[in-house]
Amino acid sequence: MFWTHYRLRLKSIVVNRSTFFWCAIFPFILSTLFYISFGSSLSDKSFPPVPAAVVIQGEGEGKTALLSFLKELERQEVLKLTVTGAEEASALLEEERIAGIIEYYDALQLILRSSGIEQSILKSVLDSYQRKSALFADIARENPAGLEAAAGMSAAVFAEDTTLSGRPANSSLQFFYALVAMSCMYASFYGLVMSADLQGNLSPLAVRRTLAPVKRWKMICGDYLAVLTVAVAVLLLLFAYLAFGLGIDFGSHVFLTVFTGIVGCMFGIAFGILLGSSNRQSLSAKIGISVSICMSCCFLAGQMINLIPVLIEKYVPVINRINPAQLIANSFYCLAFYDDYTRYTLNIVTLAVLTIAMGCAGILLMRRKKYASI
Amino acid sequence: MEASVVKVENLVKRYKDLLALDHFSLDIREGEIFGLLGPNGSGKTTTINCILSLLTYDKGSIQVFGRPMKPDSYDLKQEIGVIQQNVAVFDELTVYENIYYFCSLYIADKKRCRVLSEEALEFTGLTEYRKFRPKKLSGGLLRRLNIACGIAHKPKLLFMDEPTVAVDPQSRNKILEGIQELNKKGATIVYTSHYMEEVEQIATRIAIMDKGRMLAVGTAEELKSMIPAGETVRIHMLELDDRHLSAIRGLDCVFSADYRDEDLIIQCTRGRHNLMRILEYLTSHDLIFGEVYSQLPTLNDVFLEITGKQLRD
Amino acid sequence: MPAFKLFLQIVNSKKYMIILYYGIFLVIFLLISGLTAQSAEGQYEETSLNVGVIDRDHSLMSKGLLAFLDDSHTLTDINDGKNAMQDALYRQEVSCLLIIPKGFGLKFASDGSIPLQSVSSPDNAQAGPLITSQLNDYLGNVSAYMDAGSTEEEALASARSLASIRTDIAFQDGQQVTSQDQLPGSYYYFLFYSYISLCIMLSCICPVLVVFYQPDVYRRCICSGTKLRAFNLQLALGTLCFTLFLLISLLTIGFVLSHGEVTFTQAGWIILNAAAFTLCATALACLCGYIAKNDMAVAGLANTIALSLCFLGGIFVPLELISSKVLAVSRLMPTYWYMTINRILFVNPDLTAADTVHLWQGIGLQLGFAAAVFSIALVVSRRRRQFTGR
Repeated sequence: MFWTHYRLRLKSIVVNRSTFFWCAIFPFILSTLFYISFGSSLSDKSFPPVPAAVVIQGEGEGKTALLSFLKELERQEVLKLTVTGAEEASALLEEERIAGIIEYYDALQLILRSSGIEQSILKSVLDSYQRKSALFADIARENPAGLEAAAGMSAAVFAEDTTLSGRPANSSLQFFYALVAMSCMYASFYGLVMSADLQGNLSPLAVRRTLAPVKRWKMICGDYLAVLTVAVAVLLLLFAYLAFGLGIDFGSHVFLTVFTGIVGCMFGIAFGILLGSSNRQSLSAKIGISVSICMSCCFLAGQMINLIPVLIEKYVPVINRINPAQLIANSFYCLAFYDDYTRYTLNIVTLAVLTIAMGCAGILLMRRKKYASI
Repeated sequence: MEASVVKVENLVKRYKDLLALDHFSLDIREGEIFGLLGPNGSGKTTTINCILSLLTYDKGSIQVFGRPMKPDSYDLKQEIGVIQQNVAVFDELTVYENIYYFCSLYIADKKRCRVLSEEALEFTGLTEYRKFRPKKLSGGLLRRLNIACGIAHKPKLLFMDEPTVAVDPQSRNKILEGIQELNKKGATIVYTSHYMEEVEQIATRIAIMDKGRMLAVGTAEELKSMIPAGETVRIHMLELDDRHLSAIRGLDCVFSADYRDEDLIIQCTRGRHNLMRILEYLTSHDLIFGEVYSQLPTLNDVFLEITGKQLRD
Repeated sequence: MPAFKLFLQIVNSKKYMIILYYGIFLVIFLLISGLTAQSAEGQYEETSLNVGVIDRDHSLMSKGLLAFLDDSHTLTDINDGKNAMQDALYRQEVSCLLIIPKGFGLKFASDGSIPLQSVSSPDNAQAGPLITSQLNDYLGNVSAYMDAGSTEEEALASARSLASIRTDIAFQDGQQVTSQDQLPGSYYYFLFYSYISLCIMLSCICPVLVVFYQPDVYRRCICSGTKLRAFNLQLALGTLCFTLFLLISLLTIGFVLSHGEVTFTQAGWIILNAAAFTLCATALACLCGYIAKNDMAVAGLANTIALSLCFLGGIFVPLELISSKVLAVSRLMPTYWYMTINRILFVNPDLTAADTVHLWQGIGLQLGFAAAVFSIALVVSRRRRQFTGR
């Protein structure tokens, strides 16, 4: 009986179109959206050349040196230059076809129209040039003999980027980790469907199942196993799509990564069971509530704005400690970037405790009993 | 006398301020088709749900097969089948899968389960629809599926809560025939409805309830004998003067008589040959009449007699 | 007006969800306000980071370079241990770490070098390279001075004074420009207005149309004494009233919370921009309402459309991170133009003639999008009517 129950329950869940959309299709749509939106930054390619206009009036050694410097940067594909007159440059800037105007009349000036990454690069390049010019001017004045030696050292490398774990940092991964967390939390829809089909005061189907001579725990276990199977299967497909299809790095701890996902799904289902069993709203109303809560948790975990968790850590860190989406996303971070398992264990244990608490509360509400009204 | 299958004593159930069941008592015997008749909101479904231990109740006792019924009375539940008012099937499973699933909740043996599911399919005439999903079925077929899911495991006690609501006449007849067949095979059936014709047609005993109270219980004949009047005769007459009307009222076989809108309506007393006597009077006095209609008392008349209102008010 | 009343009743049944969305929106706004610094008008500000320092050298050289870094960043001493370092990054106490290896100063002075190491926080990949770049620049200058004959102390001081040399920045036409990092909270409020208005419109308007176009309900309505045109006009009136309610309420809240951050001219453009976008949201809601058949489908469509438009339109993701190919698609989204107008209003508050042209262009494109979607919605509704048996 148990396996018949499990098999047919599995089928009924998979074929249910609305839960299938939320749990199996929506995360794939979202991950593809993310990838389309900022997929280029995932492969960590260098920034494209910054377009700028160069307006130089008059002649002089300084101006020639500046132009050579800028041309060298153009050769290295840091900048893309247009040497032109003031009016044309102004027009280009107004049309936003260039990030800024490098103007050298009596002194070097950078003319901007807005403020962003490209403008920061232009400024940084010109600051560097001016400092180098001042450096050589200084040395030439104080100790001309040392000028040659000084020229060699100024381009040397003294600092390098490294990692503690051997894995390079990537700001875009946060979105994908939060996305997997969202997929885990959306397993709550399965929990909602499970409670609607088991709780006698929620649907005629549940009444019929309640009246059957089957022990309650067997019925709950069969349903739970069926929903967990589907949730985990979808999660594994999502992992495969992200890792092999979109090239998202989850680190090398495959087993623990999958385990984290499974615990996340269990949390989602437990949350759904508790939400479903605790009130008599319609299923669509409960789905609405579930979507709102899940999206809020994912937003607080940085799914839309990656600085939100930083802010929360600063002002209300307790939210980061109990937000299930953040716990799941952080677990992925710990596995990918930190080789000490302490933080990971803390996250997983917290998540497990939340799961067990919610699950027990939900199952208590679903136990076999009489109802005041149906 | 047959043993009591369901015994309800002094059941009281409140929904906040509403008294749904008011000291309601019931005794259903083995092998009968027990009809529970009452208007909408009379407490029929509440009674069923209390017997099935789905609802809490404030006072009273309920015994099924001689034992108290509780939510975890698995041995009792094994023998009970339920066909609810609302269709209770999985939309995502096919007709056969639905029947098989619910049968498997009662029957552990897979082979027997398959056999019983096939029998239930055939019994309800759904064999050609076995691969259909519920959404593709018409209302009547859906009701038949609902029934199939409730009877597949061949229960000894079957509760049917308004199973023919919104069902076409063909399906309805099929359902009623099926119920009688089940009863012949040994099932005790509790049938609730507000369609008195159905209940009269199939029920062995009938209980009439209203506002949570049992008004009357007995066979159809016993219930009809509660009302003093017999058949109702309606005769179309273009004219009838008061003298003749008074004379008709004075006849032994007439309980009451009224003439309005060119119709003479006579409530006869209990007895036989009432129509014959009335027609004899009319012909002997050369009174011209047209169509003649005669109707035996119905349960609606019983209900009207007891409560003062129509069963379908 | 039965259809109008029906509209109000259905929207009323969604009131808790609307309140939830408003609440979430306000929480988002408060969170974002906490993120943004006070705007410095017309000035260009360098990026300042929290840097965790592990100084294993404690030499004159290490102290010197830390003093240089301290000029533009906030330094925090971190315990020397992998755990402590990972903890600091994990808890986001610092954006990156700087490890000064033992013997750095000695090696540096003797013409060799042991490289400094910068470690970015896993979710802030730009922090480390920024520090690395600044250190390479600075130490290159120090080394140049030392090779030219200066002492260590002199070289450190000279290089530090070099670091104070900054290029003159001017803004075109002398206008005030706000740095991207210093946009006020109200910028983000009006930016995310797009997402919230999309969610609310899709979640409230769609169910009305879903109910009305249920075959049996629709047939019952067209059999009644009221003309179908009257029904449609009443539903349109209801939609208009709700759109106005949403626009006025959210904008009022926004202006109240902005208190003083927004000028009169900006406010006028914000209202126009929000009105144009809300019209787009209404059009999308109508189209989805004619397509969806039940509440579940509405929920799915609402979330998918809202998130797709906002991600691709640059609401959540900065435009700089979006590739040029995707940007070509983004330009077809009303969210892109809404975001662009919002950005112009807050980054260049002194609007030039060219800015004004851009603003009108953006509004016009949004209105064009709304008109196009409304047209498609009308076609779809006609087909749906045929299908439900007119």
